[in-house]
Amino acid sequence: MGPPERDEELVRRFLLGDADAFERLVERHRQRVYNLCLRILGDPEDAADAAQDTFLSVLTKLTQFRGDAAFTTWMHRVTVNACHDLSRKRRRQPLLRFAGDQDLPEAELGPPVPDHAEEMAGTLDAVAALKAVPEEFRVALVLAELHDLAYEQIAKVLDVPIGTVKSRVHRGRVALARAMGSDTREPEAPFRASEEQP
Amino acid sequence: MSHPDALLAGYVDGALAEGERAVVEHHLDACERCREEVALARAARSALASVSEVPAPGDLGEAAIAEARRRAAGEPGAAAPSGKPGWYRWAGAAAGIAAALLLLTLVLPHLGTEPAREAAAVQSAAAPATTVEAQNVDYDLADVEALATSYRGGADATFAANQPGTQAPEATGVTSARRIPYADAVACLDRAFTPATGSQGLPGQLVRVIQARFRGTPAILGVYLIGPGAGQPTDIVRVLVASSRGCTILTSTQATT
Repeated sequence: MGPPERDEELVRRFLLGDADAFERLVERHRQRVYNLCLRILGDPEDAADAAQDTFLSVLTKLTQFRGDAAFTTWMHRVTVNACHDLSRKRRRQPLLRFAGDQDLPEAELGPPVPDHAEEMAGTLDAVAALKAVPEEFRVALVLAELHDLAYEQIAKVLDVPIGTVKSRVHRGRVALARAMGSDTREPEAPFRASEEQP
Repeated sequence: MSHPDALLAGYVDGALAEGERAVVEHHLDACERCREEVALARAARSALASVSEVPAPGDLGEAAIAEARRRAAGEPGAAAPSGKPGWYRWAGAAAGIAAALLLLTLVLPHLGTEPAREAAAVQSAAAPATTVEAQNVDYDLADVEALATSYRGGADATFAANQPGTQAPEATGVTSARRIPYADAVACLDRAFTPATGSQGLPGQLVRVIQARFRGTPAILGVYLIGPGAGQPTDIVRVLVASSRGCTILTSTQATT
C-alpha cells in the first residue's frame, strides 16, 4: 500500500468523474472542518450546519479550485466563509470581517456583552471563554492555536496581511485569558486592535 | 505610546528573531500594559493546549457526497437537502426549476428530429482530433458547459467548428505565431488532468482540441467522448480546460449524450 493520495490528486480524480475521490476528501477533512466550525461558532448544531454547507460549497466550487493554493488552505477559507454566512444568518454576534475592517463601526468590534454576566464573573474554561472572544480575533486564534496553521497560511485563508493575522491572534489570546478570569484588573474601555499593515 | 501587537504574538510564540525580540523587550521594559498582555497571552496559549478535538457526526458531508455521485454519474440536479430548516426549502424549489430547465434542454433540441438519433449514434464514434482549433474566445464556466452539452445526441455538436452561427460567439482566428502544436496541447491536458505517476492517459476519445482563453487565462480545451466500450456508443462528453501556460486545471465539466 503506497502513501496516501494528496488532496490535490483527489481533486484531480474527482474532476475526472471519480466520485469516490470526493468521498475520500470529505472523510479526510470531516473532523477538521467540523471542529473548526465548532470552535468558531461555539454551538454543535450550528457547527454541523456550517460543516454541511462547507462540503456542499466545496463540491460546487471545486471546479474553480485552480491549484495555486494548497487544497487545505482553500478548504479552510471555504469553511470560514460558511461559518461567516451562518453567523450572519443567526445574527447572534458581530459579523466576521476579513477585509476592509476600517469601515466597521467601533461598537461592533468591542468585546461582546456576555449573555450571562454571572458566568463571566467567574472562571471559564477555554472552550467556553472562546465564545466571549470577538469573532474576528477568535477565527485567527482558532486557526493558529487549534488548527496549527502558520500565520502565512492564515493570511491566505482570511485574505488579510500577515501583520493583521498576528495582531488578531494576540488580541484573541488576551481576550480569551480575560474571559477566563485570568485578569484581575478593571477591564479597559473597548478598543480596536491596532492592526499592523506590513 | 504605540504597542507592537503583531510582534507580541511572535514574542509569545518564541518565534522572533534576535533583533525583533530585543525591540519587544525594550518596549516591555517601559510598558506595563504590554507586559500584562504577554502574561495573559501565555496563559491563553496554555489553556488552549488542553482543548481537544470533538468527534464529528458520522454523516457529516453525506449530502455533498451524494450530490457528487449524482454529478459524476452525469445527473444534473440541485443539492440534496440536509434535513435542516432554512436552505433545503430553497434547494427543493431550485430542484424543481432545474428539472424544468433540464426537461426543456433535453426535449426542445430533439422535437421533430427523431431520425437524427440514429445518425447521432453513428457519429458519436467521431474521428479523433488531430489539430488544434484556435479561437479568439474567452470562455467562462457556462460556455464550457454549453460546449459539453452541445454534444448531446452525438458528435455533430452545435459548437462544431464548421457550423456557422453555432460556434462560440465572436470567434476569430488566432495568429499562427501563437498556435500551440497539437502534440503539445494534448500533452498539456494530460499533464494537468492525469496523475503524475502511473498515467495511462485520459479516458475516452479526444475529439476536439481548442486553443482559447478561460476567464482571461490562455487555455486549452479538450473534448472527450467516453463510452462503456465494447463498441457501444459514447454516453458521456467531458470537457477539460487547462491553462496553456502552466498546464494546471482551470475547470472541467461533463454531460451525458
